[in-house]
Amino acid sequence: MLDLAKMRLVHISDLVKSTGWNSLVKELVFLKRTAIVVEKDLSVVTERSGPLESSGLKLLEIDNHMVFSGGYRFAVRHRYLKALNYLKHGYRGLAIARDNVVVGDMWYSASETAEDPRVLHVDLRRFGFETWTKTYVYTFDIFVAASERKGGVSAAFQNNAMLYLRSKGYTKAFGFYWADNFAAHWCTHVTNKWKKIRTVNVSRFLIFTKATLPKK
Amino acid sequence: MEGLLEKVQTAFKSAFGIDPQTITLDTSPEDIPAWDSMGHVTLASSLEQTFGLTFDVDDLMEMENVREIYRVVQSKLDKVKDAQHQ
Repeated sequence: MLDLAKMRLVHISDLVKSTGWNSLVKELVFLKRTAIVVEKDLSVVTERSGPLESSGLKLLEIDNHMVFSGGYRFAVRHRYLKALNYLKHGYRGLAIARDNVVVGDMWYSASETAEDPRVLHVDLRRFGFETWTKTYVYTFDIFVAASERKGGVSAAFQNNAMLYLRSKGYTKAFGFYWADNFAAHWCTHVTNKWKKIRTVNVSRFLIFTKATLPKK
Repeated sequence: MEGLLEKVQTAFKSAFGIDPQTITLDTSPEDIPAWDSMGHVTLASSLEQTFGLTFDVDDLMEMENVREIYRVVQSKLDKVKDAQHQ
């Protein structure tokens, strides 16, 4: 609980420092913000490593050893604390790193042990997923440090992460982005061609989140 | 409109410094690493200067590839022409 509180405080501190108080308020309190739920057939993903290679970045898996061995450090403080929290919850992560510094990370919920999407990740329950197969994977919280958001690095990271997940036997990935996040829209839908499957209105007040599914 | 694609190619050259001949109607952001969300804003600015047009947010969202850029630009140029004839 204390770790979670510390992570939130550091996240708030990083957010205020980088983008100001307005973005903090926007993150914590909103009414009917539209989430675009998307899917990607992993069989059609093609190799596109150029932007990562030209930026000297390599893709690696985030696991307990990687985080605790001291071999790598996170460029952004709150992402390290998030990594600790996600690993504790059993989620798996992928990172891009240069010179042993992690400058981007994304997370996924592996489904080998559960076929009920509602227990895999809270987002899947909120977004109305009712069926699931073990070859599906839910991806979430992709982050790239502000200094690296250029030259298609974010899109290449997402693309190469999907290639990695395909190599692990997954056939389809799901995720979401906020409709008002143009950068996420561009990276996910336009460049990497994830297909929109539904929109969900989400309201949040501090730690309380409510999603309203479209009527069938 | 004759020459419209050539002007679009010029805008791409200006925005991304690439060989304009590599730009075709089938070109999309996955073909040009620099054409990310920030690059798209730079490209839109370059297109505005090239054609003397102004794009709104909806236009930016629609212009997901060169074919769509061509369609949006042509539509806006047609509207300008119609307004001049009235």
